[in-house]
Amino acid sequence: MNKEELLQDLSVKISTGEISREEIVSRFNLASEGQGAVKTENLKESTSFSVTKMLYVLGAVIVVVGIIIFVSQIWEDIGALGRIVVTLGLGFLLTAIGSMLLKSKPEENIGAVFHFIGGVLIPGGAMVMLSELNVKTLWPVAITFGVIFAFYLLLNFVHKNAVLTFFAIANGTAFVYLVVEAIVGGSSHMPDNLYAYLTMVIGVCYLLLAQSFREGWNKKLIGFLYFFGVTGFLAAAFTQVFDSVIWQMLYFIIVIVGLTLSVYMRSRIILVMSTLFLIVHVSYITGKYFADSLGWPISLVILGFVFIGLGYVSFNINKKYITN
Amino acid sequence: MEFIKKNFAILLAFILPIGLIVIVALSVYLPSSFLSTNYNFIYTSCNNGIDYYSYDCNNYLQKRYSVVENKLVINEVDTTLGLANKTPDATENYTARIFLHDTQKNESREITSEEAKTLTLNSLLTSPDGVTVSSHYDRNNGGFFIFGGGSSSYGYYLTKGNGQSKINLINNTDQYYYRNNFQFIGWILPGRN
Repeated sequence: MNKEELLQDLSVKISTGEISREEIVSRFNLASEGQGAVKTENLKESTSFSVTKMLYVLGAVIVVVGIIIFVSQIWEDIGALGRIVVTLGLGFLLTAIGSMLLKSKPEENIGAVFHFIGGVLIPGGAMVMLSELNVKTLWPVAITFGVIFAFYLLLNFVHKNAVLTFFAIANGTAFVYLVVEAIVGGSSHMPDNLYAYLTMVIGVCYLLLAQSFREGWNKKLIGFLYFFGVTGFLAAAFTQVFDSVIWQMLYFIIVIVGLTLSVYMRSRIILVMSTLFLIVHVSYITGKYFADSLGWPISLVILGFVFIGLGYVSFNINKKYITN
Repeated sequence: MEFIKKNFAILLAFILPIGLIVIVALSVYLPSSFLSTNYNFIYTSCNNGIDYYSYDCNNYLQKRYSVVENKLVINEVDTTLGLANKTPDATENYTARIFLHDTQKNESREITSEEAKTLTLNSLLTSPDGVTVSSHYDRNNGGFFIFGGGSSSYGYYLTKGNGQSKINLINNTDQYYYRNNFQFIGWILPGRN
């Protein structure tokens, strides 16, 4: 293998995400050499790159909205097969184009844009197909989402792209909820808070995925996974505090664990969401237990100081442990 | 081992929801799998010949069938006075049918009123071995969330403790078995054993 072939091979591996730039920099100790020059170049590149990316995203959104409006105009006239073709068929077609583009132009984002549009159309199209087939039970819907989830896992295995990971996670999440609903739908003995526990589990899964995506091609999804993971978990846990004193006490521990986790994972999103939910919980506890005894005005004053204190602590955690 | 160590977080992200689904499935299906009764039962259903849902059928069935001294009694019902609104209503034309449900095979068959009259019945909803015929809202039975499609319906179940097992009623999917269109008459005595 000559130098040119070696560099070509390396370039392909970087673009497919098999090797990250950071790994190469750290392996060959390139960080200090010519860092200034690289930084300036990167800045220029990132500016033009983000404009291109923004245009891609804007274009993809306009295409999806356009397809929805167009399809809704002709919906009644095209018949069952036509409806399936313009949703599911188009979704698969765009996904196939996306895959071809990702293979032929791995360094560009255009393939991911086609995959994004396809990813929106495929689950919707599958629902249209089940509706046209007059499916009345939940199991076929759950299985369909399971198949779409497996499809995106497989695509992701081939292309290693963050957009495909996103759709794998979204369809996988829908699959889990639908399977649970299909199992308990016919049962009268399941607890009402089952979905709160399920959402907590899904929230933990998102945080675990975010943790495992710290290195590699899925880095772009970390913020999204942190936000939905921590928000899902804390919101679902908060729904349990209304009728249970144990949960009211446990929730303080949960939020403190969230704050600790934000330091461990160096995540500002987890810090902000944990602080917000702590504020909500403190407000709830104050309203429930202290508003009658202390009176609302005094409770509000105390609550105001508690907010300031929490804000100060949160700001300092961010400054001391996360930003640095 | 190295693979598990390296991908521990991602594996755990898959294992957690799968574990929850398994726990939920076991807690739903396990008690049901042990649910059985030695007794069959009979029930009636009717159609008023007009409405899709036969709203007043339940009133008619309650008046028409009763169990006296463990035997089925079929009463004459004057439908010309109307059952629901107590006003004369000549259009109400009720047709009632009697079914025997075999709980072992979970299947029903229609029987004649003469055959039904020969049976010894226990009119309690709970069988002598503690299994109850019960209805509850079946979310799973109608359409799916975004498209609406069908309407959810009431399903009928054999229940005991946390266990429940769906009863396959005849024409379960059409209007013949609307919630108010099912009248449990009684468990057949003696049991199979």
